Amino acid sequence: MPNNVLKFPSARTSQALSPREAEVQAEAYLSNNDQNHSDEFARRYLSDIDVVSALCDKLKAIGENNPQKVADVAEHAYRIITTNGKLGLFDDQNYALGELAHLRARATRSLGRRDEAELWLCRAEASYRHTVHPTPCLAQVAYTRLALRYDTGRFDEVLELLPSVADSFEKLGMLRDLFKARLFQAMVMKVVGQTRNALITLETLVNQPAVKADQALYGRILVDLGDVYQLENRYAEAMGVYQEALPLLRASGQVTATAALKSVVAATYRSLGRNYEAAQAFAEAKLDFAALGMASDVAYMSILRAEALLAADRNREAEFEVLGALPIIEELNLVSKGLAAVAVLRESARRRKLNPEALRHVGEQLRAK
Amino acid sequence: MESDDSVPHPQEGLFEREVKLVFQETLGLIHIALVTHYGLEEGEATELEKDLYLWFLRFCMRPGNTSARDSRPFLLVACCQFAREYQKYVIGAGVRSSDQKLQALLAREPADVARDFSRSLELLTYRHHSDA
Repeated sequence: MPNNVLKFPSARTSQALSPREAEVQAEAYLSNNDQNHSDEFARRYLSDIDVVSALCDKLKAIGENNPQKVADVAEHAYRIITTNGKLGLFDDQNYALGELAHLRARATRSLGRRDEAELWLCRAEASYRHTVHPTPCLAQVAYTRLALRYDTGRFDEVLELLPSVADSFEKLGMLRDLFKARLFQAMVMKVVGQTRNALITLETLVNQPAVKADQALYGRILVDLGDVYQLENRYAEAMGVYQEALPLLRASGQVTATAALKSVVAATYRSLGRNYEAAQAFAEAKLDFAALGMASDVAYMSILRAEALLAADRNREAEFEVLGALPIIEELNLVSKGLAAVAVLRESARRRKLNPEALRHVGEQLRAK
Repeated sequence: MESDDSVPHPQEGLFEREVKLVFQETLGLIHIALVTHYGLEEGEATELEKDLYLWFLRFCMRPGNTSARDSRPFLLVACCQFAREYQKYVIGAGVRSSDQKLQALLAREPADVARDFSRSLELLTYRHHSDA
């Protein structure tokens, strides 16, 4: 700017960094973040919009594989940027805060902290609303909010409202989001017993060339397709798609989806009456969910494993599973509508004679969650 | 189904080239908006245009922006917002005086002003296609 011109209070920091430089700085910030560095240290990195954008990309890539880390880093960055003052140009700061709040919301949802996730979704909306083109981001927030409704078993509401979100994605040309919304729709259909509709939706999805080209998404769709096949008693087809899905999920680093795959393989074994193999597969899924810090899924796997063990006449092991799951269920208040069943289950485990009916009821409650 | 949007970015070089091309095509209109309508000096306009380009590059990477060309109306909104903030700052600091026409423009919402410019953009697009 010429010397005779008054300096405009713009935050021109991004001009010096190439995308690669921004990525390197974001990586450095993330690795140092493990050591609980000071706010002062964070401010140095987070005063540059390109570094913040690169950081958001990295957190999205980590995603469900380490929700606790995503939650911690996103919350810290959000706080630093909020107190730091101006970031980037025009609406850059609002967009960055929206992204960080949305990342935090999705991570806390994965960790089972739904009230907190809802608050962070409100924060994301508050920031996105002040960007120049908020519609795509607000549609993504609406999607996450429906995922929260799914978690609390409000399936009818999800089925009612999801098509509108999918329409927004379609109109905005957000194809990947559209495919994910269709997958989500199929998942809800499956849960409410509309397995034929779920099957049609999933089979349509897997035949889309754009889906096939996206390893991670394709693998995730196959997991649900296999689950619907097994619900329709088409076990050979179910196992076929599981085998196709596993290498895709591993190659694309989808740790959560891999855990989900193990759980549906276990469910297929159960349907085939191979209860001990089912129990082993549930144990593997449980270990994966535990490594991800997803406590509610750990409890659910334990209950399903206990059912399988009970069916395999391995009562003592089933009791151990139940005794391990009950503290998590109570601490996270996972079966608020089935407290009596939890009490019966606890008592039956204590007497070393598990009540299968209470076990099934608690399992259904956890599934709805 | 958790929303996982770790989508690979478009090939950086190709993407940046497209954004730059679209920006350069719109630059004439941006310059008119900054200098003729908002009354910025040439040097000031040139500096703001550099900022605008950096912002536009980032904006095109956001979700829902399928092409840089379709994002031009938002570029014009940002342009008007930049110019308005800048002029308000300069006038407020007593460095520059404003006339009635500029005051009226500064009183309008940047999005409304940008909408007027977008009509010029449609005209430019029409001419671009009919020349082709």
